[in-house]
This record gives sequence, C-alpha cells and structure tokens, in this order.
Amino acid sequence: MHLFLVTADYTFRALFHWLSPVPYVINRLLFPLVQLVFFALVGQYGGSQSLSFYLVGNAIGVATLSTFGVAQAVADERWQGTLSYLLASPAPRVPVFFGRAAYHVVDGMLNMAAAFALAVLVFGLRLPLEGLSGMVLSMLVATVALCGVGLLLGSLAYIFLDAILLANWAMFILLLLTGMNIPLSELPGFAAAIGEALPLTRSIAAARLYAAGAPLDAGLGLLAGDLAIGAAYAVVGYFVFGWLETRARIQGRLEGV
Amino acid sequence: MIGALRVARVAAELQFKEVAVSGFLLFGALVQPFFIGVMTMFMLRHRPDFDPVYVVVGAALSGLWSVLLFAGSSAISHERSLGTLELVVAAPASFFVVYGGKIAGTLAFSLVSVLLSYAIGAWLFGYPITVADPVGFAASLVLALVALWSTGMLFAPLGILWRTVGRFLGLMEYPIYSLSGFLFPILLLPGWTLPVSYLLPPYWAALALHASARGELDLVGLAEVWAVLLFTAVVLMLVSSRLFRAVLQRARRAGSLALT
Repeated sequence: MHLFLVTADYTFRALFHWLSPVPYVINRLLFPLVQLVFFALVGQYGGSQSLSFYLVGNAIGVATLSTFGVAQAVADERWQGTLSYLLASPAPRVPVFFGRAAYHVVDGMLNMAAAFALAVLVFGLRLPLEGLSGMVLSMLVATVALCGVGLLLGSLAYIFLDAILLANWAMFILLLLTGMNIPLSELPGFAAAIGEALPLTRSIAAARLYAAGAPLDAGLGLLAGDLAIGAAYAVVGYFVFGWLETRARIQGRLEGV
Repeated sequence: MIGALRVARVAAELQFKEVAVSGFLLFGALVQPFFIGVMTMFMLRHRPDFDPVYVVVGAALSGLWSVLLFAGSSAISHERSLGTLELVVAAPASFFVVYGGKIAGTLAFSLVSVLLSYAIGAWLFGYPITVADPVGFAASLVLALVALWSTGMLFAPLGILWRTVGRFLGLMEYPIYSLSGFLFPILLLPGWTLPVSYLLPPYWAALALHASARGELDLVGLAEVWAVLLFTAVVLMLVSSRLFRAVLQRARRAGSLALT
C-alpha cells in the first residue's frame, strides 16, 4: 500500500509536469472548459438535441483528459531516464503500475465538477437533487474507466515514442464515438459498434438519465458495464506492460523502441 | 526589402520541412480537422438551413488555426531547446522577419487541412460541395491566411517572455474557434464577447469565407469585410512588431534570453 501511495504521489506531481500549480490549472481545468463551451455551442446551433444533452455529455467527457495524465506518467519514465531504475527495482509491479492512475481518478472528478459548475452557472443546466448521487457515481465510473485506457496507452508508449499523440487519438475517438456529441443511433453501424466497446459511452448515457431525474438504480447497469470495460483496458495494459518489460530485458533494449 | 523577403522565404522553407515531419503537427493538420469536420457535420446537418460548405469552411479554418497555434507557439521554445535561439536573435536579420517566415511556412503546410475538409464533405458524406463565388472565395482564402498569420504573430513574442507559453497558448485553440465564428454564429456567444470577436482578424476571415462560399455578399459587401480584415491584421502586425522589439530588448538587458 505504501508503494502504491508513493507511486501515485510522485507520478502525479513529477511525471505529470506540474510541480507548480499554474500549468495544472491550465491543462486540467481551463482547457476542458473551453472545449465544453465550444461543443455545447455547436450543438446548440445544430439544434438536433437539447442543450443539456451536449452539456452533460461534454462535462462527463472532460474525463478524457485523465487518459493524457496517466499515459504520460508511464511514458515519461523513459524520457526522464528513470525507466531502468524502476524496472531494475524489486518492487512488485501491481502497485507500481496501478498507482499511476490513483490521483488521476480524484483529479478527473475535480475537473468534471468544475465542468458541471460551468454548465450550471453559465448555461443554466438544471441538475435535479434526486439524480445527484447517480451523477457523482457516473463521474467516478467515467474517470476510473478512462484511467484504464490511460494505463493501456501508457504501456503502449514503451514501443510508441509519443504517448501524447496516442492520447490525442484516444480523445478524439472518444469525442466522436461515445455519444458525447452525437447519439450512437446516428452513427454508421460499425462506428456505433466501436462506440459500444469504449469506456465512457455508458457513463454518459447514465449521467443523462440522472440529469433527467432518474433514480439511482436506473443507471447502475450502464455504470457496471463501463466499469467492466475500463477494468478490461487496465488489465490488458498491465499485461502489455509486463510483456514489454520481459521482452526488453531479453533483447537488452530497455530504453529502445 | 528583397533581403528581408529572402530571409523570410528561407525561414518558411525550413519551418515547412520541420512541421511536415512532426507527428504532433501532422495530427493537428490531418487527424484533428477530420474529427472536428465529421463531428460538426453530424451535429449541424439537422438544421433546416444546413449547408455542408459551411462545415467544410469552418473545419478547414479550425485546422489552419490549430496547426498555426501549436507550431507557432512552440517555434521559439524549439529554438531554445536546440540552443539556436541566441544565434537567431543575434543574427543581423530581423527576428520579426525570421519568425514571420516561420509562421508563413506553417500556414503553407496547414493548407492541407483545407483539402481534407473538402474531402470529408464531398467524399465521406457525399454532399455536393460547390462554392457560389469562386473568385471571391479564393481572394478570401488568401486574406484569411494573412489574418491567421497576423494573429499568430501577436502570440509569438510571449514565447520569449514566458517559457511555458505553449501551455497557455494551447488554451487559445477553442476560444478562437468560438470567438471567430468558425462553426457557429458569434451571436450565440454572450454580448460582451462580440467586441473581442470584431477585433480578431480570423473573425473577418471566417465571415468572408462563409459569405463567399454561400454567395451571401456581393462584391461591395465582400470588399468591406476584406478591408476590415486587412485593417485588423495590420493593427495586430504593428502591435506584434513592437512587442517583439520590447520583449527582445528586455531579454537582452536581463541576459535571460535562454532562461526566461
């Protein structure tokens, strides 16, 4: 547990490049908010869905930023020259690997809370009290599931040099295919099928139910589905990480690609 | 003057070669406009007055601006990390001209997003993409590049003043999309933001491109928009020129060019 907490703390602060708070505020709070405003206004102009459809979708979608932090935290070990120390250490890999995502879950929740505050204060989004606990649960599941994607991308970053590029791909795929801005029913069949296999799709659907005042149990099935998908991504990431580590040791190219 | 143009051309060529092999900027020029174009096409196509050309033009402008913003804001930090910033600043050629060439090279590269946006509308969605006033549109596109160039030049000196400028300027991506009305009318924004939009050359560029693509303005109306675009672009260029000078002098006096 100690190793898990130490890894969580150091990877969040040092490997995520925010030893001072200003870059943190810009990267994690302001950028998602301007993105939310843009897509909400495009959606409002399009008029095919209600404004709340876009506000809730994009406020939950702010969690996509978690994939950047987690992926970067894993990949930057190589850039900062600490990868060999990490892999040579006898520390068990499970807390080292999953600890990287721990703070990002809390951070993702904070970012989404800021996004919802903006949606309520600026755009007048109404969140009924009876749906509030479900909404918080949707936020938690969304960010946990996306940290799973981040862990997988971070592992892949051992063979792909640019983790941020991978995370950018992931962000735009999530923006397009999870129903954040376009209902899945409007997408072509193959695209909707991909969307169903992505985390976030069900969290967004559940959040929209709760924003409409649905009781807590109405969205639990959806959230369980997203949690399972996110866990699957994280576990695959863990095994990819282990496989690449073994391969690098055998081939003697720990810092190579 | 000819010497300055030669310096700008060389800087533009070098920058073009650099951005053309950058994975991140290729993403900005090709992948990001693809996603923005496809998403906005889906989001706007239910409007009764939907015109796919509007989305094509808006998505192209967003691609141009994103590449310009990221390549432009990182150009100075890139020189700094290579250790060549001092050499460029100390050279007898004007730094403003060198940087202006770099921004022009970036813009030339980012024109690929215009073709990509056309392909999304015409081939992926199968819409007929026709421009109502091709001559006006071509002139508007050239002036749009001037508008974006001058806006990029305004942000550039901050890269000398502020090491982490890229993080701050990255934030300007979506606000410029919104304030300039690339993909929705600025009347959807709060009233207090309208004067900011009117001061931005990209707003006038978007207005000219949208209007000429849809044939909404006659030549006189279009010329008025072009005139305001050029006026705001010249104002931004003069401001950025002074800003370049002031920031470089400050860095030289403090001996902090590579450190700020």
